[in-house]
Amino acid sequence: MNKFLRPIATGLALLLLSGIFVELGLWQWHRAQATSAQGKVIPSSIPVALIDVDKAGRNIYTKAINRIVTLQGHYVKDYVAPTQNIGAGGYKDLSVGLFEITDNRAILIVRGLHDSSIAPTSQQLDIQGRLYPSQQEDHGFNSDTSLGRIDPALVAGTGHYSLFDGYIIAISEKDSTGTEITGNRVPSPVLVQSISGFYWQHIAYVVIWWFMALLVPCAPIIAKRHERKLNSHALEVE
Amino acid sequence: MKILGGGLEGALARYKFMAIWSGTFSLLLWFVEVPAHLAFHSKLAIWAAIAIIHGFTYPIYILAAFTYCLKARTSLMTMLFYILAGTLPIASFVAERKAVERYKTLRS
Repeated sequence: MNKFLRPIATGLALLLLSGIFVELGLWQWHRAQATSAQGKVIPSSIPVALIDVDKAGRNIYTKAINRIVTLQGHYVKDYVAPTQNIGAGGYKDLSVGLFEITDNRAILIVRGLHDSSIAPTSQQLDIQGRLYPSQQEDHGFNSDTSLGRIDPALVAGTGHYSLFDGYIIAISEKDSTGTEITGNRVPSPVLVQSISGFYWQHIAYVVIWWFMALLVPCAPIIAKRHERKLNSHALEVE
Repeated sequence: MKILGGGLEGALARYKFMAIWSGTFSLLLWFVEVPAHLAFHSKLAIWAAIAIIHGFTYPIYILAAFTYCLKARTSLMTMLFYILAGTLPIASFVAERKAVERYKTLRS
């Protein structure tokens, strides 16, 4: 039994290992492509409806990140997000609202600076803003009215909404009459993903992984042939 | 099978050269390029060159380690050790010394 099973098991193990190396090579290949593309991809500036590029209740679509989106609905709860980095403006407290759209779906929206310029409102609004992935690091404490980071996970228990992943930085808010709600908005720059390493460095790793993928199944065959050659040579000498 | 051409001496010489080469570039990569790139966000071309040279020459190191192990008739685990030694800064220098010791044992 072992006589038959052992070479099959070894062969399968080698193929599995080889497959892992191929996958690792592909991963490095994608990183090389991403390194090459970083900073070059400019997201479309044409506004699209949020529900056309993203879905509530699941992870944010990568292609939806950085898009200018529009949505209609009303604020159901207001929060403050303390000590947020707003670029040249330094660290400021931001006014964030949980915004409900149709079908019990909601998303967090950064309305602007947390000051008297933006008053809480529950009226129907048309919003345009840029979509970002959720923040991962806390910038302050969490409470019923404060968000340590802008992350829908922190408001998951509010109103049983189906929440969109990520958040929007509002560029404009208009009421039902089309009147713009003014206030101290915050910048909404295009988020640039930073990938460490250089293009040719990742290509080098692709070469290594795929070379290993080739070597793993070939090595036992080469070793066996080499062994046979040595044995036949030894016999000749005898 | 030209790749296996030459004797154990040739395979050892090739492996020694590549072990020192890979070890030196691993040292530069781990202790110079990575801190410069990640901690200081330096974008100098020299850092790219270190990473790229190390990356593209590593398959040659693997090949040298593989042929040496075949010639020296090492076990599969030893072969794996020699191959992976090229990824760590000091390990390839240790492996190079071990290869020389093994060669001396085989020859004595």
